[in-house]
Amino acid sequence: MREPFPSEILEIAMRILYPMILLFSFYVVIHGHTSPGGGFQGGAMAASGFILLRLTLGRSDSRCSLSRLSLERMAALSCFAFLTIAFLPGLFGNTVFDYSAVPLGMENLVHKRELLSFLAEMAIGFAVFSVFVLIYDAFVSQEKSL
Amino acid sequence: MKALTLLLFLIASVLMFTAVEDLPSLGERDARASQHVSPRYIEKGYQETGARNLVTGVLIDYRGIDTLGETLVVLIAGIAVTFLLRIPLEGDSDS
Repeated sequence: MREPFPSEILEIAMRILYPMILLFSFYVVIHGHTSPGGGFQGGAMAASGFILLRLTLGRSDSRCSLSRLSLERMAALSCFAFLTIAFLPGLFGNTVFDYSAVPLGMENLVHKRELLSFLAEMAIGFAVFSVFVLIYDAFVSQEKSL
Repeated sequence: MKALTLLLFLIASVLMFTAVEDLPSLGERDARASQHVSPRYIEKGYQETGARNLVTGVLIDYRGIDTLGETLVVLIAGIAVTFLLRIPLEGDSDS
């Protein structure tokens, strides 16, 4: 695998940008219900932050130790979580994505729908994030040591 | 062959440019597309999905199955790439 590129400038620029990118991606996912954004966009942004970390520090650095196995687990689990949320109303005799019958102990129907679709959004975000980082790692690991 | 291609291209472009004239202008209220389900999305979107952003409401709730399929496509793409490129399972330890 390619060695990390030793550059102070790149590392300092990454240290400034990386937290901002992650924070903004979380903002985009969380505020997807009130402003433009959502799971796909936020997940792609978080993945770009992680890929920036990997580009500057190299894969072997301990700070970016998200192994292939954990990324695959994360992708599969978040897809499963989205499936579960989508088909959860089916258990309570409603159609898919109609959360009105799910017993959550909430009086306000709108808030219940908001909460559950927000969880679905988070699941999408994590799935997209882990798959993007996984694809990046797959292409990089093809590279023989230079 | 080249003349035929040019002829087909001309016919197709004339057809398309004449069809463009009949398209409803952007944001027209009486257009066919904004008569069917759009009024309901706009009027009841917040009550029915809990999302103030209409795009998210449609994406995650009204058209949720579509989003589900998209997420699964992304997952399948990731799995296919890892299988095709044959990454070793201990990705961190080798070299």
